[in-house]
Amino acid sequence: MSGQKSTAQVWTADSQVLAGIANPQTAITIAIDTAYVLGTGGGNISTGVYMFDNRLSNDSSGEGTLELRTHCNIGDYLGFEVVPIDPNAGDTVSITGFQISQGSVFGSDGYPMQVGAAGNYWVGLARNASSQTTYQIQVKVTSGGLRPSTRFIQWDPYIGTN
Amino acid sequence: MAIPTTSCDVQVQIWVDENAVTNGSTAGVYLVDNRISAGTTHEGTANLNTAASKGSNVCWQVFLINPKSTSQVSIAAFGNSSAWGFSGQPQTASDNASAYTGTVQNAGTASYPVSLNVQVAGGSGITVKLNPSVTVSA
Repeated sequence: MSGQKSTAQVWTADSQVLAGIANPQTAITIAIDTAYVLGTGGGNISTGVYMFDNRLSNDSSGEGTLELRTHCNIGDYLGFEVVPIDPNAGDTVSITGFQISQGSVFGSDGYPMQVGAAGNYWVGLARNASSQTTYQIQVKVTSGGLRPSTRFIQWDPYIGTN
Repeated sequence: MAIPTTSCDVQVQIWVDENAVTNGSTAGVYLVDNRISAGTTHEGTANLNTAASKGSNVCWQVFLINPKSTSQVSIAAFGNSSAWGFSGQPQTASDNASAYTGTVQNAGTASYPVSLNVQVAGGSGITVKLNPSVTVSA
């Protein structure tokens, strides 16, 4: 670890920033049917992935689908967590990147980054007002078992701000 | 006899938005399973209809959508259903006190009642009653 700065070391000056990263106001969870995904060729996916957030009462829509429209507040930190639905299969999931195809809710300094070592949790910041930002999230699904295989999948949900 | 979660081919996750749940509503509660390939319908809703094979063990777990939340959520109880047959009634799992496991012993489609306890941080408790279903193939 020497030579690498942890997130905490980079931002020690700002306790509010630290608190936001540690406890994002807007939480997005992505549950993945890994057996289904591993049976596809990867790439753009249209089922087997289910998204939820904690902002239904703030007018999020599309809960439980791939087309989640998260409605958050400007200045919110957004946590993105991926989890496999079946914990017994030994399959693992991790986030490998974000691409923005429309809108600019994150800007530059709010662009999502991995937090923690596991790779299944990323945090972004809604830096800019945006009625609709369309993003693509890329997830790596790796099977457990004798000969692990990997699929990279992506789809495009939305984020808007109050 | 309690079944360990590791013996369950069918996995159902219940996800809770603690900011949206209220007594008498299923808003903010979403169910998913690992059986879309087998024909499960209503994934991502409170009315999940899980496709399972007769004799399968099923595991249910409940989680908060916000992993950093200090609220508490748990499964309170499972009601009776024809799906459980004579000895499949879900009970607390033998290897995980927060999970429930059961067996679908009768073919056909049947709904089952399940209730959740949600205690939002700093607030009072909320009971959420769900009535999802299983479609069991012989």
